[in-house]
Amino acid sequence: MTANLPPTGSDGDVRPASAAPEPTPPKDELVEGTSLWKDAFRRLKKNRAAMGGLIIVAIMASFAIFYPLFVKYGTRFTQEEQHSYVVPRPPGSYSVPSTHYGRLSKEVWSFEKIDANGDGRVNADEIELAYKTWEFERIDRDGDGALNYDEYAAAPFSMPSPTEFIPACRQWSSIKRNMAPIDHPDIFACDADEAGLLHFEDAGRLVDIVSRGEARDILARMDTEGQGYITPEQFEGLPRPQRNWLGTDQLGRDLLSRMLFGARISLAVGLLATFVSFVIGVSYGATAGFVGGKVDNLMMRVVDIMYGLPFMFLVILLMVVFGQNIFLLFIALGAVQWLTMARIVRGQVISLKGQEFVEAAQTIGVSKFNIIFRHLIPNALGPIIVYATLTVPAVMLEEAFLSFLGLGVQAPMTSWGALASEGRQLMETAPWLIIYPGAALAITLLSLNFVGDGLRDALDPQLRKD
Amino acid sequence: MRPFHDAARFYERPTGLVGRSPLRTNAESAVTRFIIRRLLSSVVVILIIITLSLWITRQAPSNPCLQEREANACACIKEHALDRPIFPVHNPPPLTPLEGCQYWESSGSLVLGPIEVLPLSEWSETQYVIYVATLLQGSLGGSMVTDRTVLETLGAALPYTIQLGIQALLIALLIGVPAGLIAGLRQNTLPDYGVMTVAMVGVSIPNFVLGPLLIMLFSLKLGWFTAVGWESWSDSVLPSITLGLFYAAYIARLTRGGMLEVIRKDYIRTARAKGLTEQIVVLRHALKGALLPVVSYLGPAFAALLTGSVVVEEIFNLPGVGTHFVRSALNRDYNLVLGTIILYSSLLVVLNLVVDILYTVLDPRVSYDD
Repeated sequence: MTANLPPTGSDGDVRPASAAPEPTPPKDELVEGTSLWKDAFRRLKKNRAAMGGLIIVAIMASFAIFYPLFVKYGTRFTQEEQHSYVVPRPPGSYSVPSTHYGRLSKEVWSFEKIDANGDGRVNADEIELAYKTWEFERIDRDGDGALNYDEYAAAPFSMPSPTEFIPACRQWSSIKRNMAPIDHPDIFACDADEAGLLHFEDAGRLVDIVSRGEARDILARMDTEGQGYITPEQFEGLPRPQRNWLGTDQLGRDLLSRMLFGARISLAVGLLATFVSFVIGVSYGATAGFVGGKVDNLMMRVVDIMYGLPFMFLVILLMVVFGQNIFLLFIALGAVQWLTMARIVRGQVISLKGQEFVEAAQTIGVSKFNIIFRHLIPNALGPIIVYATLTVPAVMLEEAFLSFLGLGVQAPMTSWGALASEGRQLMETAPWLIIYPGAALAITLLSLNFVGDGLRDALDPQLRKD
Repeated sequence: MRPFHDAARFYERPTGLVGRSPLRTNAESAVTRFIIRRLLSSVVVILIIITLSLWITRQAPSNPCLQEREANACACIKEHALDRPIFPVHNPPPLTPLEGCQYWESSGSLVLGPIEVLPLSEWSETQYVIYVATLLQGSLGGSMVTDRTVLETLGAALPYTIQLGIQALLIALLIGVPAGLIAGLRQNTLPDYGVMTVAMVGVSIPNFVLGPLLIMLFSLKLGWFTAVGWESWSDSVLPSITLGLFYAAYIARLTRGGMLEVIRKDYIRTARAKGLTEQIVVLRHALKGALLPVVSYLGPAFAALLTGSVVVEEIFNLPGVGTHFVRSALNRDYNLVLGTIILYSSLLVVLNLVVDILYTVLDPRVSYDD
């Protein structure tokens, strides 16, 4: 009887035969040798630049993978939610998230405080005003009820407020102009009074953090009966304004959230397109190298000819003509990159295929397919991995390049390249829109390049140039 | 007694091979054969490019004629022969004929239907043959959107792109090679680490990030250059730097690697042993070998420079070929698109040939025989 037989009883509580405690195996006397991979990993660990790069890439990848979590508990803004501003807001400004919001405590932001006219009802105008007051008090650091120039300058307003929003601007005088710094004569001029102070009434849209529409949305969440106002019983507390750590674009979308989402697309394109190039390149190169002779000659001549093609132009053409399909993008970018991979693999396979282990495999009747994919390619894996690692930044750069031309990923999706492209148009007024996505892209590419170089040094010390 | 290094130089140039030895004639005919073969394969490359891009553009879901009113659209379609089959061997795309004319509207994806071979008599009617015939007459056809011919448009744009490319390449070589040499000769010292770190950063900053940063710094903040447009030479400075810096960084890495490899070779040790100064050893003996990887990179570099110039021209709003390429592609001006791609590929093919010939000047060991 073995334990494999089905239990015969009704509630068969049959114990498997292997449940008996196993004796611990005797300690092996042999010293375990280091495999190529262990050895390479040891060398890689010593390379500080590569390890630093690896950590940064891991951080970026975790941002990409856990985007929903980071958005929900970190930035609180989703990448597509808009908070209509006329101008992009600089890093450190606040807006009120519409999806993942927390509520301000009812004690501090009591119903009575929000209800400005005291009629026992709160409407959208009062909500808007409440947020304005909140923003003004935040900017007014010394709490004297008016903004002086220092407070004005320290506050994250993206540009001097448009003059038409400020009634006091009509009384503009040379005294106020003299208060402003020489290089920005108009920055403070229109907004301040004779004493150089800006009061809440004159601040206008400068301290807007919700628009009229958003205020209505916030009201509608509590106003379950659709009466246009809320009563103290319905009041649940207002959503807490959250900081836009890296600022917003002109549609009020949080840049940090968009960059986290962009990491997804940028890294996914990098990995998938590299995978496509990996599959094509390895199969093609290994086949050419293993079969050899005329087939090899022909296949490599094809590669030579394709090297001469200006591929990126064909990709651009493809993206223009057939719309910005993201899968087409993966395939097209991968198809551009496989040529070098094919050459490397072919060279490796040719140098390996004369060795004894291949002959041994042939002798015992392993099929050609299995010899290539089970014996030759695993042995050529070192250079393949190194080249694949260096392909990822190259592909990411190409995707960013296409997105920059407006031919890559399309809204509502975004990538670092697309973000940089949007940022370039507002470069003068909102430099953060190009600096942060550009920096994210550059840092990731730098890290990947360091990792690739480090892997090359680790896996193939002979290639090492120092 | 002769100075020692003179003797060494004597051995370096064995007189026996000077003159037209049979060996040398062989080599020369090999070079000629090589060039002829490369020219032939260049023709193949350009034909492939024409075929592919013609196929892609003609499969497009839209074309410039559709912007016109219906009666004009028919005339436009007839004028550009868009109502004919694309290739002698073609797969008919799913068609919806426009009222009054046989307009071929495809579904917007690359469809491979059952392949149909046209009878020989109709071959001359196909768009492909008509287009190639136009090319053989030395024309690239007329723009489908503007009144100018493609040759006029590209002829006006090409000088900007070429100047941009040459300046960028000069920047790349003038910065990259010396930096790489310094790093290679002072291996594992502070200058080496410094140059290599800067080079790594340079390789990693995309030019469409670098360009706007340079504009912000030098145009908007310091006011040294104009931000966009190309009026005078000074306007080409920022675009050239933007385009060239990546290659400067890459070439520095290549030069350093080449130098490290060469400097340990026996012939360098010999040169040193015979008492040559370090300067002569480096400049006359080592440099040639160290530059080989750079020269072989020049081919791909030209291709990348052309691609990169598309972005740089877009950023700086320059009237070059790249700007025309992107705009014409977006406008569906297919003749201009095809013309631009043909121009780019021809440039690339010629430049690659030049690089290959240059390579033999530096490294005579390269064999032209398969």
